[in-house]
Amino acid sequence: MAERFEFSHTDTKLTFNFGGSQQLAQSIRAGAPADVFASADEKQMKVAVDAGSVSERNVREFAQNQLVLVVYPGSKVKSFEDLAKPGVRIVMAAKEVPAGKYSFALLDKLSDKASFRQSVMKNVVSYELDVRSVLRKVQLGEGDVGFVYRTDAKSAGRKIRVVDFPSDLNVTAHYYIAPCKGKNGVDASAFVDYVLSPAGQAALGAHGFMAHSHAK
Amino acid sequence: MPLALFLSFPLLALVSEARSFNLLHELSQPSAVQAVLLTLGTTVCSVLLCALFGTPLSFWLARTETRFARFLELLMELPIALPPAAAGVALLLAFGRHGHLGLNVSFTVFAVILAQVFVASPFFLKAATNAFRDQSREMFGVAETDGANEWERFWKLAVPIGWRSLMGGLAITWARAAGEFGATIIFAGNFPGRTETMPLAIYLGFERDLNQANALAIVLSGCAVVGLGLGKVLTSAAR
Repeated sequence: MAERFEFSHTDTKLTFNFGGSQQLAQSIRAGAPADVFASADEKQMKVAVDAGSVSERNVREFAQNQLVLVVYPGSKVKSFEDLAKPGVRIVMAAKEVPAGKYSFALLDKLSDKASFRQSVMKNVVSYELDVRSVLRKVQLGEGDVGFVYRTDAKSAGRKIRVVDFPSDLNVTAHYYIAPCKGKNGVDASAFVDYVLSPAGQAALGAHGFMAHSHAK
Repeated sequence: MPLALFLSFPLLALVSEARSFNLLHELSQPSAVQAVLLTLGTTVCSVLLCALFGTPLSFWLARTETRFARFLELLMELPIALPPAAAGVALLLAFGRHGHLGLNVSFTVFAVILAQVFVASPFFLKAATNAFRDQSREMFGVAETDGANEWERFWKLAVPIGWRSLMGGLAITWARAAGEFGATIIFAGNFPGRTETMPLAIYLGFERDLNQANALAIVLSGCAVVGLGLGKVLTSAAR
C-alpha cells in the first residue's frame, strides 16, 4: 500500500512505526512526531484524541478484524472447547493490549459456564506484550495455541493451523485511523483518504482485513 | 559534566515524581507486591548461581594462560554486548521446547532465572577474574610448595582474600539481573506472579496504572543504586 501511495504522490515519503497500539498511543501522548495514527481499538485512539494530537471528527474506522486461534501443528487442539483441556498451553496478549482486550471479551462470550473460563485461564502460560509475539510463541511451539487476529494467522502461512471461532460468538476488532495535527496535515489526510479508498481497502482485504462499517 | 547531568537528570525527575502519589500505597497493590517479590526471589537465585559456578571459573581463567582460556573469557563477556532481545531469542533456540535440547522451561520461573544468569553473569565473571588476577602469584607459589592443592589454594586462599571484590561483583550482577527485560519477555514470557518481574510490570504499568509503573521504577532504580553503590564500596575497599 505504501509503495502504491508513494508512486502516485511522488513528493511524499512514507515511514512506518509499528507496535502495539497502546505503546504507540503512549508515545504520541508523550509528544512523538506522528502524522497519521492507526489504532487497533477505539480506546487507544481516544488516548490520542485526549492528548490533543488528533481531532475527534477526523477519526475514521478503516478496517475490521476478527480473532482466530493459531495452533502449533503437533498440538491436539481442534476447536475452542479444547482450550479448557488440561495441559494445553495457551498464549494470549495482555489485557492492556487491544488484542488481549478482544480475547478476554471473546472468552467471556464463549464461556456460558464459569468452569470453562476458569479451566482456560489456568492453561494460559503467558500474557504477551503485543499480538505478534503471541503468534511467534505458537510458531516456535513454545505455546500450543494462541489468540491472534485473522490477519496475523494469514501472514504465518501454512506453518500453523488455524481454528475459527463460531462466527455468531466472535468479537470484531474495529480499527481506526486519523491524521495527527501538525505541519504535514495535508499529506496525512491524503494518506488517510487513500486507505479509505477502494484501492486501499482492496490492499487491506488481500491481507485478510474485513471492510469497515459505514456507520462512522 | 554534560554527560553527568544527562545521566542524573532522568533519575531526579523519576524520584521527584514520587511527590504526586503515595509510594507505599502503590507498592502495596497485589500486582506490585507480586512483581517485587518475584524479582527479589529470582535475582537471589541468579546471584547464587553466578557465585557458585562463576567463582571457580574465573579463578581458572585468571590462572590459566592458554589461548583456549582467553577465547573462553571472550565468549563469557559476550552477553554484555548482546542486545537482551537477541539473548532471549538465543535462549529460546537453545533451551526452548523445540530448541536444540527440547527442554520444557520456557514460561517458568526457572526461565526467568536462566535469562538473568545469562545477561548478568558476565559482570561477575569480569570482576572476579580481575580480582583473582590481582592476587600475588608468589603467594600461590609458596602455598603450592607447602603442599596445598589447587582446590585448597582456591578455597582457602583466593576466595577469602578476594571476598570483597567478589561481593562487589555480585552486587553489580544483582542490579543487572533485577533490571533484565528483553531476554525475560522473550524466553520466559509474562505471567503475574510467575514470570512478571518488575521491569515487565513497569512496561505494562504504563498502560495499566501509571502511578504503579512510576512507583516500581523508583524501586528498581533504588536497586540499581544500592547494587552499584555496594559494588563500588566493596571493590575499592579491596584495593
